[in-house]
Amino acid sequence: MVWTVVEYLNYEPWRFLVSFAAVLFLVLNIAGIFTMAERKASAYIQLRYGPNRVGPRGLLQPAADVLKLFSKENLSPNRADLWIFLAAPIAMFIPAAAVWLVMPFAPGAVIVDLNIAILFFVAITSIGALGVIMAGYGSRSAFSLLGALRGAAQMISYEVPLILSLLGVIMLAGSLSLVDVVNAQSGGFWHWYFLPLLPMFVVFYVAGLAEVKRVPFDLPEGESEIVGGYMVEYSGMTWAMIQASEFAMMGLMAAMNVTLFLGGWQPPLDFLDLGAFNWIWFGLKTALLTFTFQWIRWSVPRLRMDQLMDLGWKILVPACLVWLFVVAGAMLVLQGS
Amino acid sequence: MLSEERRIESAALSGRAAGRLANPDVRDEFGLETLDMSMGPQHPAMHGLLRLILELDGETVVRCDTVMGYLHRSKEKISENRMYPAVIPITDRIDYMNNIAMEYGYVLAVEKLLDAEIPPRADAIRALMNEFGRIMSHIPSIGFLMLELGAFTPILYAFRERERIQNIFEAVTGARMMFHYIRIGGVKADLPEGIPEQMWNYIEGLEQRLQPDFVDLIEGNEIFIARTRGIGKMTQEKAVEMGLTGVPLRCTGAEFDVRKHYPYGWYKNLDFDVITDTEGDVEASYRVRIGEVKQSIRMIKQILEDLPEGEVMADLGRRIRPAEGDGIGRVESARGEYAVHVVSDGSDTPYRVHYRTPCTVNMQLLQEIVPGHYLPDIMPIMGLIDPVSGAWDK
Amino acid sequence: MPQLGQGILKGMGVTLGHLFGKKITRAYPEYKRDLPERSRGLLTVDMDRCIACLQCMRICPDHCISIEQEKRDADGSGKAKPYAVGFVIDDSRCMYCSLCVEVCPVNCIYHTEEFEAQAYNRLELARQFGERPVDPTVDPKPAVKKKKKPTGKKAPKTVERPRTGEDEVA
Ligand code: SF4
Ligand code: SF4
Repeated sequence: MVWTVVEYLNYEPWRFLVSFAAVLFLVLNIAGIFTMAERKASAYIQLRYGPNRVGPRGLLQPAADVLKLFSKENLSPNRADLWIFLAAPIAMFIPAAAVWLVMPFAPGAVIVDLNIAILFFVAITSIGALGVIMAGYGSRSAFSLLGALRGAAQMISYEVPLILSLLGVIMLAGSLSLVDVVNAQSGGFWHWYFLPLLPMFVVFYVAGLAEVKRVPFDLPEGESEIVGGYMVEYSGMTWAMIQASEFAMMGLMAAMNVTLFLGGWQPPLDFLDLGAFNWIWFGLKTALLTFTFQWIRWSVPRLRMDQLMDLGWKILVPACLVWLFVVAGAMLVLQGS
Repeated sequence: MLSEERRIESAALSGRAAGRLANPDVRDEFGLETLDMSMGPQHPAMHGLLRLILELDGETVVRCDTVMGYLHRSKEKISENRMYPAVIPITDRIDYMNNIAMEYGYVLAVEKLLDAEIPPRADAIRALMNEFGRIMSHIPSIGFLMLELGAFTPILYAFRERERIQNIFEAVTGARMMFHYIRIGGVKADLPEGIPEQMWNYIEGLEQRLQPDFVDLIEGNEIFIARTRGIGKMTQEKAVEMGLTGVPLRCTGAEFDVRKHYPYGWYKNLDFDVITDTEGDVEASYRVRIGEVKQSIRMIKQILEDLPEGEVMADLGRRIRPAEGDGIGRVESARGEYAVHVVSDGSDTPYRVHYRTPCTVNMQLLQEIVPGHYLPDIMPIMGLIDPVSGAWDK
Repeated sequence: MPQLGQGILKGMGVTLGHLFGKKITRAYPEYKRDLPERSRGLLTVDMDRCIACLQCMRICPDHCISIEQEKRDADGSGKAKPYAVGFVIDDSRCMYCSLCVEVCPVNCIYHTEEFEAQAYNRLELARQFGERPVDPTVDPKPAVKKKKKPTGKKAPKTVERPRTGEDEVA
């Protein structure tokens, strides 16, 4: 009986509706959980306790935050370009949500197994830059505009190393589908791609950090010089939307990192296989990687714009290109023999 | 007719800028305009209330004008209407990061007027507290520098140290921030029971914590080096010419420290080095600050090791009424040379009090060295000067 | 990149160490630190002992003590002595400098350990101690001798500029 219902749900339009609700639920929760994790991690690093009033050990704090933000008035600057101003948070949020559609959570648990999933990921995340530009341009403030300019420059130039580092994975897996990529990494952690593609893994990690605008690459926000950059004029729910999309984006980057280089849902050793529950491995790895993002954030200062560009174009891109040739050569030699 | 505000603003602008205000449509040869940006007075990185009028060409600063005075509280005029002892709590509020030196300067000036003889124990306690005050100001300065570079954690470690010193100060003086401890003729009260040991323990602990939390975390960090090395660089001649004192002067290599070269109070008996650096950039200022904290620790240990016995207050009578004349007190505050000039007309209240705060002078540096730097470099340069709003506006 | 990220890793080691370290903050309203003996909290006056000498009112730099005085035979000695019928301390102006405490000849004004003063209206912070309320908005105008400044009085002669720190010029 139950199985018939499940199978029935597998047909359109139910499949679409269920997956839509699931992704929305997931993304919003990820934003909440990561906000909480961020606040707790920062507090513990800084010898504080962090939020500890709402609920047991403060775990309900995100819910309280959302309630507060809902009840806040949504202010917009007098001369703001209202359409662009209000559309920007949505333009930031949608890409952060849409990529989850192609993410393999566990064996067989993927909403759409696109054969060009990696391309889809690259295309969709680029929309995020548009949201930043819209937000900065729409709010008509010098600080926002500077933030948007920085955001645009940074996100577009870091897309280059990001994509180049993906090429290594594509070459090794021989496919653009994320499911194939994960399947190709089966059989123990020594089969994961981060070992043969170590430089690419590092490049993807760094470029991913820059893409989600986190310290040391949080120049578009740069709260000490441009006081929040493109989001300085937002308040209430629009602001919450931007924040949520940033945290969801961070989770997405970590998940992508895991999928591409750390074996996705593959268990580190074969006997640890949990079958349908392999999403636990996926979640654990993502959480660990997210923690490193947070750990870096609370340990280092921020780079300057020119240094950021130097790092991107003079170090990451050449490193990627060189390793691409190394991988290609190695593949030729190993497969040729 | 310009409105009042506009007039003040254009007075604050200079040269090309004033021209631009009259004719905002100035474009350069490519038809590109520069962007005017008003940074502050309400800005998280402005160390209080400072307004910078910036002209930006992309992210490069073309012009930087400082507008001060948003925290002007008329300290000098208020001081003229208060009795001599009642001015001390007012001086506390000038530099609220390093209050104890502010009291010390004023008290020295009045004592010069009175020709008072200070008991040695009082002198030693003053120096002790002053050095604690320096640590209390320098460590958060380092934290603020990091905060402005985007690292949030060091400031909280810094405030941990500050809070612990404040606990000691609260036991000694009764207040956590506005101490009102150094009095004309001595100090308010002797150190309470057990406090010298607590100070000693704290200092030993600080010596251990200084290395990981403020040196390992910051000094070698590549991003920190990239952001601070060569930023805000100035030559020694320039620094001397501008009348800088304190860390901004010493980090260019000039050896000047009021404690060493014009010793006052107990500093004559102490053995310490003047920390200098040759680079004159933000990184050098960080190194100088760390070095000075270490020197302060050394001095505190020396004072605690042989603290003279005796009274802590000279008997100057109930009413303080100096003869006509003037007195100057110079001290080395955490930000540079702080001097107070008190003129007496023989009555209960001073005729005139002038506070020469280091921040007012050091702040002039911004206008000079910021143009040519990138916008985000303003923050580390502010960290180099480390001004305090209360001190530059008085 | 001379050190290849060594410095960053070192710093991250420090923060990781603190992640598991002892926390130093305290949950304030539940946990209250013991205040040291000398701590200066809100002021209070023991009106039975006050001899209405007005010393505290005169010294106060912020003019926050106002006393209304009256000649009254309060202790039944037959002689009419100054008596403080009204006594107000305006906490919204007080800066807890302790000067009034130090000048009081009978030690009847003193600091308590209380430090949490808050109100929705500034006037609520003015605490009355006497039998008759005193208007805290009126400046008590302490009887400091008025100087005739700046009405043309010449500045006092400064004999010679005294140099501090005598002769040890670097
Ligand atoms: S503590 Fe200072 S400010 Fe407060 S009432 Fe006493 S003298 Fe006035
Ligand atoms: S100084 Fe003391 S005795 Fe005199 S009026 Fe004030 S509280 Fe009363």
